[in-house]
Amino acid sequence: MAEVELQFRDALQNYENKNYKKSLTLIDKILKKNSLHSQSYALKALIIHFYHPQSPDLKDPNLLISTPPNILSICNDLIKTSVKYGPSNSISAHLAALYYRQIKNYEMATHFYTIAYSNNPSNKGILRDLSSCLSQLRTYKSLIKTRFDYLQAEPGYRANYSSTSIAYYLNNDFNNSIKIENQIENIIKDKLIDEDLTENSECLIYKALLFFNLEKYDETLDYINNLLISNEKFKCYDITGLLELKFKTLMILEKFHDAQLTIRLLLKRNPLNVQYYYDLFNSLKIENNTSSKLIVLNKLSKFYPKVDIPKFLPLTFLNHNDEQFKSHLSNYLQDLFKRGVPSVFNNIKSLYNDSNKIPIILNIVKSFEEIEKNPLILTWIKYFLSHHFDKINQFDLAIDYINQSIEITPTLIELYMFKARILKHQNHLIEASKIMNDARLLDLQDRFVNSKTVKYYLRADLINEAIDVASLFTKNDDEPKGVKDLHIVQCRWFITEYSKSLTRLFKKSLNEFEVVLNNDHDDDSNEDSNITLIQKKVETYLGLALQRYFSIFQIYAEYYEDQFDFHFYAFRKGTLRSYLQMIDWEDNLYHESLVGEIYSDLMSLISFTKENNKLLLKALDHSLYLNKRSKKDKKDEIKWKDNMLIYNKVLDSDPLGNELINKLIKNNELDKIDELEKLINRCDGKTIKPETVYFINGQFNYDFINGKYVVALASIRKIKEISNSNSNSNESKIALKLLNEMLERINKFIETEFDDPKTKSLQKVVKLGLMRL
Amino acid sequence: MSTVPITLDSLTVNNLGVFNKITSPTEYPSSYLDKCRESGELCQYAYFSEVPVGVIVLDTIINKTPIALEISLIKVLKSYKLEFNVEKKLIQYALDLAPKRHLSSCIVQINSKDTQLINIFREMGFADDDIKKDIYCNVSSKGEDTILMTKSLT
Repeated sequence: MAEVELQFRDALQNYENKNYKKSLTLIDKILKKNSLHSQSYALKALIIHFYHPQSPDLKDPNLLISTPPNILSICNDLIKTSVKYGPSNSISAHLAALYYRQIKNYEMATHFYTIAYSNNPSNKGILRDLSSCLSQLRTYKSLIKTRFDYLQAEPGYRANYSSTSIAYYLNNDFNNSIKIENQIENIIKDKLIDEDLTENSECLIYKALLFFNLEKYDETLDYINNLLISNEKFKCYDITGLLELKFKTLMILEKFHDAQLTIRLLLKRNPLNVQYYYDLFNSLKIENNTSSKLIVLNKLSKFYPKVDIPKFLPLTFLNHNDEQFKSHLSNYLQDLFKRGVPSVFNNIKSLYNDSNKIPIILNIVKSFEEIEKNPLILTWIKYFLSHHFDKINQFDLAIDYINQSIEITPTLIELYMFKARILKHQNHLIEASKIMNDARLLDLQDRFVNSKTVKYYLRADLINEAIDVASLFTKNDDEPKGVKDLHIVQCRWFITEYSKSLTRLFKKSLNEFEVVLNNDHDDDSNEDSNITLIQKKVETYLGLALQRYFSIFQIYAEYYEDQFDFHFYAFRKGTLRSYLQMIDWEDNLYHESLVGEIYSDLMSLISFTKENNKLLLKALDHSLYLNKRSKKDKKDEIKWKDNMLIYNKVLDSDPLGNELINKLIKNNELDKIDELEKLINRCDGKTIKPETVYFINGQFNYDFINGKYVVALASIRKIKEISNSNSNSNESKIALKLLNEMLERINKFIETEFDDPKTKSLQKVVKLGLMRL
Repeated sequence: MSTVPITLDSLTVNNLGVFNKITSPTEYPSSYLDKCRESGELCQYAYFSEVPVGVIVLDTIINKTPIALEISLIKVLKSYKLEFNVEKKLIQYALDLAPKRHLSSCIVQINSKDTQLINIFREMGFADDDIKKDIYCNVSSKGEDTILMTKSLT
């Protein structure tokens, strides 16, 4: 036995020194002698995970795990064997935990770290990794113990106190957090060195936050005041943070005079933060007093002459009937136009929410237009008017004005960009993209207009043009075009627009296929249309669209993964508040509006494929028309496919998404979307899925895909509420559109004839539920 | 109004698209634009507070040795013409450049109907010069109705 242990130690050392090949030979030797040696199986799994020259790593962008699936399954089997022979062996459990951490399976890693630690409590290092896994999984209850145990093992570092304190914080146990903070403060009181300056500063303000969270407001205030007047070297340096917290506390304590003084200090530090102005009104108790607010802002605008906010804010609360509104607006606009600010319209766009103010704005700007002599300023005024008419949906007038401004100054990029935007609003997408490209040609180094052009091309479904333009700014080392690079740099907007465009093209091709199919039955003269090419298009566009949607979620998975190192690193750096912010951000990650949009699109697409399953399967079946195609057809098809590969290839493992189609559409294996649904519906109760139109639509489609028609009715009710709420808002317009779509589809289900009695009774229930809505 | 600063700058690969917008409706082929860009200081855009509104293209006239600097193209957007001294700034640029290149005179051929521009050239010291037409033998005549104006810089 002793010899085996020696050999194993040797193998372990070789593994740690990355001599994988040698280590593997040693392991095989051990297993030959002693086939029950559980540690060796676990170590073998770990080695093979890193070292598998026969099957090279996957190189696809945005992959969290690059190990090929066949290797993973070998490794998993080895771990299973290891567990079988040594279920409570600390070393093999530790190795298994390391393996699972590598493949980002934190549940299993936690499981094995726990086994490893409970069988060998002297190895404290395990606790650190275990804590990271627990934090990643948000299992905060167990986190306190592991953090605390590790602190007791390693009490010499402030980081360990901080991490324990945060563990209490995450469990909302602020009292214990403060206790830990006090402990370490007492210990290090006289031993701080220069390197601790920032860490100490952050810890001090973190403690203020703890008092605040405990609702001990008087104590918070005293504490902050002491920090603010401190002359010591080791004090809190985030004055803005302290003052903001002080203001909040003072407002709760209703000490308005002090609050007002505090917010003025903050304004002095940063007069560009609009929230400070609102806070100032609140502390002065003049939120509803127009004349007082005017006086205050008037003074502030003299105090901060270069700042726009105090000049602009009166326009938001002055009544349109008020003569002051008119004069104020006139002065405000004149000043901006004179200075040649191109974005005047964006400054005052929020005023358009009040429909009474709109004609006043128009009149004033028109009066400027009549007397302006300087051609450049006149250009900007006409540009403004164009925005105005675009905003109130009078697109012809908007075009008229933008053409006038282009006539005066044809060399300004902004004018063409806005013209393209009006055309887009008129739904002239191709023309819009051409104009946007004209704008781009005026300044080839402007990446903003380059990106806009790409977006407009994608909206017009001119994918190749879009990719050509986008590739001007990407690194095109591995591929001729830049799509892969845009995935590597996690360019979400591009992939989003791209997948939407692919979805439209897919639906268009499927339509085309249906038409050809119907003609085919009527007569046999189908020579003009290359049906196999259309089939290819249906397949490729669908495959790529699916793949792109999943790519975006993959990027989000990376964002989520990125936090892992910080469960350890943040405490070493002492950035506690940033750590808490990060946790918060990660918790809400899958509730970002973009996720909602993609979720809705992806689920709609999949549910569309399910509803049109018969037609789609026919389109995906290449054997149907293979004999019919001519030589030319075949040539065209190959040429088209090669071109698609040049432009669209991102993943080497599945270049055109065919595997994805096989899985999701042909074999109906929906585990991928079930996983997504789980991520979006976080079940820890900390954050709730937002009830925006897109999330509701995604949920509806997900239920629809799974045949949960009764559950889907809940989404219909929610979307109906939104569509009724505010008829003018953009969201309610989308809601109304989605509502009609949903109703149409659910009715289609009710009206379809089924033989199955179960489905028939389901139809009845859904019908009843629908009537109650 | 004349206080608006006019600045000049060379063409770059990225802003060649502006050229034809200024000279519109005349369109120049991209080979011509590339040549202009490569000529460096011989071709300049004029900026009206950072917006390009004018362009000048210069050529060296060679008769065995270089003898004159020709303003082969000068164009300012309609709305920015005359009032803002863009033309003067461009012409002055040519006049300043010629001595640096050891050229003793500056010449220009203008459409005889463009009296406004002719007046500006006169203001800047150019004079009608029918006699010298032969001297600049490789000045490709820009049509019947052009006149030649010159300014000696010695």
